[in-house]
Amino acid sequence: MQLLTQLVHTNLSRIKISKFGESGLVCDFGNEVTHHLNDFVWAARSQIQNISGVLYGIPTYNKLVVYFDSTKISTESLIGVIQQIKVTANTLTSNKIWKIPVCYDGKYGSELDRISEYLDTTNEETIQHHCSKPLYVYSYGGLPGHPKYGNFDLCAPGRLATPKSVVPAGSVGWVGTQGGITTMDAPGGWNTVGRTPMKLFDVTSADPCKIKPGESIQFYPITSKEFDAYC
Amino acid sequence: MPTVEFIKTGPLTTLQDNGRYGVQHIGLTPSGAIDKRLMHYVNRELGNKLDHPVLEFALQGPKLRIQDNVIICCAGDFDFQIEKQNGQIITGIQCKIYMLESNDIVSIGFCKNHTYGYIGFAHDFLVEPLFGSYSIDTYAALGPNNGKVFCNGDMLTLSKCQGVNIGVPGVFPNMTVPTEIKITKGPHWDYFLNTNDFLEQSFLVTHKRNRIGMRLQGPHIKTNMQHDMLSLGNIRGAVQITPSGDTIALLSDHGPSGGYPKIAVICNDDYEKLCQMPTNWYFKFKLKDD
Repeated sequence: MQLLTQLVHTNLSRIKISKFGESGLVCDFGNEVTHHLNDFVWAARSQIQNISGVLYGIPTYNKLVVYFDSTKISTESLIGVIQQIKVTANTLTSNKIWKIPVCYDGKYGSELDRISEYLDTTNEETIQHHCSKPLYVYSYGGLPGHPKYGNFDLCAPGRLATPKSVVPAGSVGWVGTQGGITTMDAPGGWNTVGRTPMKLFDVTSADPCKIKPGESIQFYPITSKEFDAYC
Repeated sequence: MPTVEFIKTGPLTTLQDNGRYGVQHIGLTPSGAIDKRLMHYVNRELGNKLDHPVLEFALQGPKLRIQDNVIICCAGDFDFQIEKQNGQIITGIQCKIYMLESNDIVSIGFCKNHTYGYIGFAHDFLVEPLFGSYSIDTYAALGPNNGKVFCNGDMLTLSKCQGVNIGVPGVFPNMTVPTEIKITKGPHWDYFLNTNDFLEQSFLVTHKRNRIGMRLQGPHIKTNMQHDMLSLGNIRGAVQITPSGDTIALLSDHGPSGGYPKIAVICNDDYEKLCQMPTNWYFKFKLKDD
């Protein structure tokens, strides 16, 4: 049997679907963090969302959680309908690269030192690596419009043992080989490497999320003066 | 236009309906009334659509001053009274419809053996829905009232009531507080080392609770899995274990995705029962036969 990563089209009967409570499913496309699998996940979400009784689908890197109204459709029927779906893996990937300004000053990058110590690099080298290449956006994270991207070549330390009660909007996080940019003040346990003045989510807009999965972002450093002047 | 003024609010008074669906892939939480049984009940009494927006409060209810004519119906485990302008005091009865007039004051007391109470209105709320829902999202602070819980002095404007189409009364939900909550195994069940403790020992409902989650005090649940696993989408009722071994049940305003492993999921029929448990209540999880 061919691997999913080698296929352009696939039938969802090839993926593992398991129950997640009485009204949820996990559609598992594999364990690799690749554009290809992520493309399948997003393609599956847009089709599954249209099934009567489905309330939502949440894509993460290579998995799709589906939540449905079990009074409208049973788990077994829903799995049956999903298995009939065919998806194509070239719908998402875009050439767009967002240039994102980041101020890495200590007051914004509270874990820059922690990351450098862990990587055994100077802060300058850490920043250089952070800005070194475009990073692919896989999904939105724990907040509205909050892009989650990868893959860094260097592996930063894991989540903080004790989450912070407030991580300010615009905080640029880095955990392992993945990153994310927060879009509002919220609690969080990620290492913060810096902060961007760019607004990435606007609930009043018809298209509230600035950055879309399938696009890429590349960081560039700015001074705190430039941060303050940014509008 | 009729108005409702919050002279005092409880700690967590919000507007809620069925919830905001189909936008979880861009990172919004579903929200929606915690106890939809009671939301449906008051709306059925008032002849509304079952998922018509209601005022939800937790622990302690609000004190409201009414202007113009307002029709309400309350449900939950709390006392309330209506103070008329002439000084007359009416002791409130649950699930009964009240026609209020200008300067009437509705005072809602503490929730007794439950945590969430509801006030239904035979009116529309003149606020802007977000993605089709009137629910206040306390996780990301979005939705009506700028996503904020109501504060003292806040005011809600209502549509003029066209009268009440008294519907067929529903069956009031069984509100007994259980000592057992049914679960199914979560996606990471097999990675935990002492699932027997999870099922055999008691959990305590702590005061660390809101519409996002409930922190439960119980056995320390150990796992040999990495806590830096990739995020997975969340659902209402998922039970997750933090790196320190604490147990958290995710409620209606849960974060849309998260990286903590999920040991179990509360069964649909027991979700409201868990959420409604009073603080300091003990219970056990019971695995539902599959």
